[in-house]
Amino acid sequence: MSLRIDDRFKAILGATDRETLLTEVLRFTRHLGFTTVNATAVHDQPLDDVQFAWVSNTPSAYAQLADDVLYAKGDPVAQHCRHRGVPIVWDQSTYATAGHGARWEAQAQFGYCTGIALALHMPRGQHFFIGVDRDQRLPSDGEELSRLTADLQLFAAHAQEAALRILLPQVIELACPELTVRELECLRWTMEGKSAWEVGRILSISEQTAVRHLNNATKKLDCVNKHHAIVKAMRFGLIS
Amino acid sequence: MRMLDVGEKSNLLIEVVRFTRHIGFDLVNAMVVVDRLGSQSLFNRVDNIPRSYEDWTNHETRAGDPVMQHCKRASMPICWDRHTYASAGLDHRWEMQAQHGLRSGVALANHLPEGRHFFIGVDRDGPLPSDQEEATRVVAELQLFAAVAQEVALGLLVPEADGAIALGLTKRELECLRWTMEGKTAWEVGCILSISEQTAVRHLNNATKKLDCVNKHHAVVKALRMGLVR
Repeated sequence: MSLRIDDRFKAILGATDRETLLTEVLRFTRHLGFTTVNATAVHDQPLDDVQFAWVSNTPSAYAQLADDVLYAKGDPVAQHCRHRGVPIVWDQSTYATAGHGARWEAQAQFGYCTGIALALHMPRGQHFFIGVDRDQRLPSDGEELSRLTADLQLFAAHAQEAALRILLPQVIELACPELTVRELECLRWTMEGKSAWEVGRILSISEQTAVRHLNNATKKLDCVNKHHAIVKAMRFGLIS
Repeated sequence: MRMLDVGEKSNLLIEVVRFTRHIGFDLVNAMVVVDRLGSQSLFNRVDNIPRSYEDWTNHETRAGDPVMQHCKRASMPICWDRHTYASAGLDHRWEMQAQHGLRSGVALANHLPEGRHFFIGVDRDGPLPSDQEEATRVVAELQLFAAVAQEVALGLLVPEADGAIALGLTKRELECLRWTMEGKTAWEVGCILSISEQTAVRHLNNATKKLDCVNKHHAVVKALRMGLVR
């Protein structure tokens, strides 16, 4: 049973608002031995603007810099997390190697000297990023460092669900619309390459009625045409 | 954290088994699943589950499996034992698999973009660690290992667009299909890809022929079903 896992990983599952989400994220971060944390929910769909929402305890003095830096192209940690699904353990050398030694110097003044960060890339354009930072060195003992990283990875698996639910509720609520049996039938035959006239013949309805069913399905699915509607209905699992 | 450096499937199995033993388990099943819209998902795995326990590969019996059910929906790990099966009314299933050394285990799935999933489950012949801290260690290490292993496994176990190559579909043709799938007209596809409308139409016509379809929309559906586009 999942009850076997330490409560500090599971407490976040019960979070219902931003405040409790932040509280739980902070509690875990401190227990792990880090000072600052940023937990970000991201939604990116083709043809849509990327949405970001986060909880963090970033000091306000650093927030200005972070706004430029955190998702800026050059940041090696952000770069890593955008493309990879494995965690990154970083320190001054990470930035120096990437030719961003100055950036590290700037952020180090605010306590961002070392850290562990990772991103989970999930279906439907959903991503979850979490990074913990501190002003002290990372443990030199490989086993200890590996334990910290594993703990963060396990926490992220629990936190992402709550973070997406609380930070980007509009994304989670993209509900599947209800289509009538007739609308689904029309979509299915169109999917097989049939024209509206052919669909009408097959279902013994007029071409006009077939068109009307297809138009209704298209509107309900918030699509631009019947072919787009078919793809979206397949994604929702309405037709196969 | 040890990075996996494996070039082929047999080495992946070696690394996965090595890790499994390291955390105190015997058996492991690491699996890549790729959804294909409108047809059966693709499965590809490495495992050291005894062949005597053949039943476990049967998808129909797996369908009701509470551990699989959990992993299908959730992204959080599950620690399971006899109790998990008993409370799902499947004590007999547990008794059967226990004979093959699957008495308890930890399993998790990562649900990834583009209809891909990575599942890993480790099992053993004894009970789960009774100490909470020890149990947490095992689960956290498995979660971290999964993040590392899935990158490798996805590279090795997913036949990347093999179908597209077999049919001779070009990258451009696939791109045109992808944008058509998002509801774009040939003119719009042309604008997006910085090619003329005519060229976009030509790519789409070629793709349609290669897929043996009657029109571009039919081609999109067929490409989706074959997993050529997602």
